Amino acid sequence: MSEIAREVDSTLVFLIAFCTVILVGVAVAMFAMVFKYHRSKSPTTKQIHSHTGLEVAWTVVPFILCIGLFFVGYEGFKAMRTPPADAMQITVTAQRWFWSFTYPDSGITTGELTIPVNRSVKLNIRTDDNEVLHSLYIPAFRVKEDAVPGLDTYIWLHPDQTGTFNIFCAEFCGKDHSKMITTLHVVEQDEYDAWLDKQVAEYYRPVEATLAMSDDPEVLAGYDGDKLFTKYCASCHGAGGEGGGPYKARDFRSIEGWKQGTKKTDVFKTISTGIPGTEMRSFAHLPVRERLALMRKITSFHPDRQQPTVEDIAVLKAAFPELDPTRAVQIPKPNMPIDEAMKQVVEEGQVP
Amino acid sequence: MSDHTAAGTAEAHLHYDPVGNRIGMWLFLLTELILFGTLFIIYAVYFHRYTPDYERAAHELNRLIGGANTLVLLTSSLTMALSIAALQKDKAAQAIRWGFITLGFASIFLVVKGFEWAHKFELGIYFDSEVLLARPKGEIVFYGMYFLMTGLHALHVIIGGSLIVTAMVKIKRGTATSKRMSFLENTGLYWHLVDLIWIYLFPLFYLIHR
Amino acid sequence: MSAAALATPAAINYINAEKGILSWLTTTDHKRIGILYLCSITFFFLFAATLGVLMRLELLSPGMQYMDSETYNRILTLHGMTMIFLFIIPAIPGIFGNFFLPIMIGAEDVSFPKLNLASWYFYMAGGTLALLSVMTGGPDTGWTFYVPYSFKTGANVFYPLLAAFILGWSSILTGLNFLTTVHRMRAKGVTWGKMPLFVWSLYATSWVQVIVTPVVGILLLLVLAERVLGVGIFDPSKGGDPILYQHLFWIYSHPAVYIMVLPAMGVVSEIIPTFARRTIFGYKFIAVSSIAIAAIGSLVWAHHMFTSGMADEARIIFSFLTFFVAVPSAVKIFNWLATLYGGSIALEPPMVLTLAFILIFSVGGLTGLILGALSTNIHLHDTAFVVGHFHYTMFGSGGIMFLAASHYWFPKMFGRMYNRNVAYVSILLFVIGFNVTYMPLMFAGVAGMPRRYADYLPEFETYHAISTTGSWILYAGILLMVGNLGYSVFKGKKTDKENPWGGKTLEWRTPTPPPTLNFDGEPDTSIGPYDYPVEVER
Repeated sequence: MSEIAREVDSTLVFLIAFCTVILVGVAVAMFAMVFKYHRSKSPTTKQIHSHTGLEVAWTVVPFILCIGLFFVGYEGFKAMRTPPADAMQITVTAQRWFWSFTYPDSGITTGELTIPVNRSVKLNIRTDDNEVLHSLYIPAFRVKEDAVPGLDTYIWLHPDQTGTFNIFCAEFCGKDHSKMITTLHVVEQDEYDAWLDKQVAEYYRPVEATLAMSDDPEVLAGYDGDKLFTKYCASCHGAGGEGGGPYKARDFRSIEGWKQGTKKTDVFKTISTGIPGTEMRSFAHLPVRERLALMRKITSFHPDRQQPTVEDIAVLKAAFPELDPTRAVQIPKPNMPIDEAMKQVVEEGQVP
Repeated sequence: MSDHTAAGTAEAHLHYDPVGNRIGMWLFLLTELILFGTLFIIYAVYFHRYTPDYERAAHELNRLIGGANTLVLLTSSLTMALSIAALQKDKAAQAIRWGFITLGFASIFLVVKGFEWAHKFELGIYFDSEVLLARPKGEIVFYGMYFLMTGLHALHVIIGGSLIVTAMVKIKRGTATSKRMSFLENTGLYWHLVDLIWIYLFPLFYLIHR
Repeated sequence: MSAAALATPAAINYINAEKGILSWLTTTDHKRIGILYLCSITFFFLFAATLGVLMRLELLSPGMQYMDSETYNRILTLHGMTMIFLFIIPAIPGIFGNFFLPIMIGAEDVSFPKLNLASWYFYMAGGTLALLSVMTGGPDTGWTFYVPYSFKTGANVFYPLLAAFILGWSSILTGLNFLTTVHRMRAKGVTWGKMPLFVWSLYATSWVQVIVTPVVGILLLLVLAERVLGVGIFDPSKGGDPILYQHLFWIYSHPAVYIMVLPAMGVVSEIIPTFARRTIFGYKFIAVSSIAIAAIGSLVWAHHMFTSGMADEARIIFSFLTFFVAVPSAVKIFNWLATLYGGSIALEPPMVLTLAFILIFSVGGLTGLILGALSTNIHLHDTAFVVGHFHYTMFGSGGIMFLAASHYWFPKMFGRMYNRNVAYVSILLFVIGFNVTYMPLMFAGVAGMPRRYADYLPEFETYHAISTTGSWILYAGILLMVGNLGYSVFKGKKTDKENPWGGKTLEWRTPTPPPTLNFDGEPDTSIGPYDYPVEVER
C-alpha cells in the first residue's frame, strides 16, 4: 500500500457510495410509482406535460455535482503523476510476454521487481519499436500506464509496507497476454541492499567459454532450464519445442533450416543477439547463466547435432566478454546523487 | 382504399423528390469530406512532428507538373458545370459533348499522375522500399501519406468518371432530362468535391517547402 | 376501431402482398427490409451470445480447460466485433427504425428505398465476411484493432477489417436515408414538435452515424494498408504513432456508443407513455437531450485513453468533459420517472423490460462516473470493471431495449401475439442472469483483475465462478425469449387489433399488419404522439 493507493481507495468508496445513493433513489422512486399508479389502483391519469422548474433543477444539480466529481478524481490524479525529484529510477521493459526491470547504477536486469520500502521509486516504462502495446499495472498500488513503442512513459510508487504484489499486463498484447504476470517484492532497505549486491555479483560472474559449451551440470548449478524455457521461449516455440504459434517460430525438434546455425555456439549467439528482421529478439539482458541454461534446453530437443569446434568457441569468447574470465567485466560505477555527494564532500572536509 | 394500395405500389417507386436527392447527396459529400478530413488530420499531426523532413521530401515533387494537373482538374469542373447548364436548357447533345470533354480532362489528370508515381517508383520510392526505409522517419511518413492520399483521390477521380459515363448514358436514353436533373446534378456535385479535395492536396504536398 | 379491421380479415398487407423468397430479397418496402434485418440481426445476436457463453465457460476456473489462449482471444474478438458491428449498432435502427420510422411520420416509405435495400446487402456482406474470417482462424486483436498489434499479428485480420469497413458504409447509408426521410417525408401535420421521440432519437443517431463513421472507415483501411503494404503511418519503427490511431479510433467509437444507446432511449420514450397511458413528461427536454448527448458525446473520446501515455493535460480536459455527458442521460431518466407519476401503469412484458432497463442503465451510467474520475480510472482502466460497466451500458440499453421493442411492436409487425406468461418467465431469467453475470466482474475489477485475460490468478476465482453461473441463467433467458417470439411469428395467437396496447403514435392507427403503403388513405395526424385523454376509460 501507499499513500496514493489509500487516497484512490477513499475516492473509490466515496464514488461508489454516491452512486449507490442515486441508484437507490431512482429504484425507490420507480417502484413506488409503479406500485401507486398501477392500473388496478389508478384507472385514471393526470396529464402533466412538463414543469420548467423541475427540468431546470434536474439539469443544473447534476451539472454542479459532475463538476464536483471531476475535482474529486483530479485531486488524486495530480499526486499520481508527480514523482518526487529524488525518486529511485528503474527502467521497465515490456516485451511479448514478459517484463524486465533494469536497475540504475549497476545496470543489472531481473525478471521480478524488488524495491526498498519507504522510498519513492519511479518506473520508466519503455518497449522496443517493433513491439506492440502493453500496460504496466500494479493493482496493489492502484497505478497503471501503457508501454508504447516510440514513447517513454512512467508511473511511480512510494510503498510504506513490505510485501509481495502482482504485476499484470493490462493492455491486450496477444497470445500470452494473461500470462504476462510477474511479482513485485517490497523489502526493507538492508534486505534490498543485500539482495542487490548478490544479484550484481551473480549477474557479472563470467563463465569460461569451453566450460559453458560443455554439458557439465555443475556450471549451471541453481539454474532451471525448463523453468526459464517456459518463461521466455514456450509462448512462441511451444512447451515441447514444437514451434509454430502466432509468429511461426522455429521447431526445435528438427535441425533443418536454422537461420544462424545449429551448433551450441550458434544457438547461444542467437539467444544473445536475436535474429534481425524477425520476431526473434535479443535476450542479452539475461544473465549469462540463464542464457546458457536456455541454450542447453533448446539443444536438448535434438541432441544429435554438430559440436562446436575450438575455433567456434574462440570466436564466441572474443565476442562475449561474459564468456572470458580473463577479461575484467566492467561493472558500471554507482552514480551518487548530487546532494548525497555534496554531503559526503562536506563531511570529509570536516575530518581533522 | 384497395385501389389506392394497388396503384400506390407503382407510384411509390416513381416518387421523384429533387430536393430530397440533393439533401442525400450533400450528406454523402459530408461523409467524403470527413473521410479525407481524417487523412488531413493525420497529415497535420505528422507535419507538426516532422516539419523539416516533410519540407525536404516535398522538395522532390515537381511543382510544375502538379500545378498543370491542378489546372486540368479545375477546367474539368468548369466543363462539368457547362454540361449541367446545357441539360437544364434541354440541349442533350451539348450536355453529352461537355461530359466527354470532362472525361478527357479526367484522363489527362490520371495519366500525368501515373507518370509522377512511376517516376517515384523508378527512384525506388514506394511503400516499404529499402530506399525509403533508409530515409528519416518523417520522409517515410510523408511518402506514405502522399501515395495514400493521392491514390485515394485518384480512385475518386475514377469513380467520378464512371458516374459521368453513367450520366451520359442516361441522357442519351432520355432518363436524365431537364425535368429529372438529379443524377447529373449529383454527379456534378461529386465531381466538384473531387476537384476541391485536390485543391487542398496540391499545396499540402507540392508547395510546403520554401 | 376494431370493427373496421375485422371486416376485412384477409386484407392485403405487407406480408402477403407478394410471395416467394425472391420477393423478400428484392423488396424495397421498408417494412420488409426491417424484417430482413430482424432475421439476420437475431442470428448474429445468438451467434455472439453463444461465443460469450463459451468465453465465460473457459473462465469458470483458473487454468486453461476447454481451449488454448489463442482460441480464447479469437472468440473474444469475434464476440466483441459481432455484438458491436452486427448487433447493437444496427439492431434498433435497422429493424424498428426501418419498420416504424416512416409509419410514425406518416410516410409511405423512406426517401431512398433502393439504397435502403443496398444497406441491408452491405450488412450481409459484412456479416458474411466476419463469418468467413472464423473459418480462416478468426481475428485475435480485440474489436478495437489497436495498432501495432493489428498489423503484427499472424491471425487473419484482413476479412474482419474489410467487414467492419463495409458495415460502416451500411451504417452511413442507413443514417443518410433516415435524415433525408425525416426532412422530406413527414406527412402534413407531423411537425418537428409533433415527431415521436423514437424518431427524434433516430434523427440524432443518424447525424452521429453520418459524421463519425467515415473516420473509422478510413482508419480501418489504413490498418489494412499497413498490414498489406507496410505504409508506416502507424508503425513506430517507421515514424508512425500508435496513440494517434487510438485518438482517431475513439473519435468514432465513443460516439458509436451513443449510436447504440440513443435509439434504445427512443424506444423507452415510446413504451413508457403507452403503458402509463400518460403524455411524456418534458417532451422538449428529452428531444433536446438526445441532441445534447450526440453533441457532447463527440467531445469525450479520449477518456478511453487515460493510461495510454497521452499528455496529462489532455487527460484532465477529457475527464472534465466526460462528466458533462452524464447530465443529458440523467435528464432523460428523471423525465421517464416523472412520466410514471400520475399514470395508469400496466406491467405488460415490454414495460417490465423497460423498467429493468431504467435500473440497469442507471448502474451503467453511474459506474461511468467512477470511470470518468481520473484517479479511480487509472486503477480501473482495462480491468474487468470496465467489462462490467460497458455490458451494463451497451447490453443494458441497446440489448434490453431491442428485446423490449420486439415485445412491444410484435403484434403490429406480425399480426400475432406471443405467450405472455413465457415472456414474463424469460424476462425474470434474463434480469437475474444479467446481474449475476456482470455485477461480479465489477468487483473483480476493483480487486485488480485485468480484462481480456484468457486465464487468471486463483484469487479471482470466486468472481469468475459466479459470473459464469450467471451467464448460463442469462443465456437460458435469452433463448427462451427469442424462442417464444420466434415460435409466435408462425404459431402465435392471431390478432388484428389495430392498437393492442393503447398507444398514440401513428403506427397504432393503421391496420395490423400494416398495408404495403402503410396507411389506408391519408394518415390521421390530428392527434399528437402522446395526446392521451385526461380521463381514461377502464
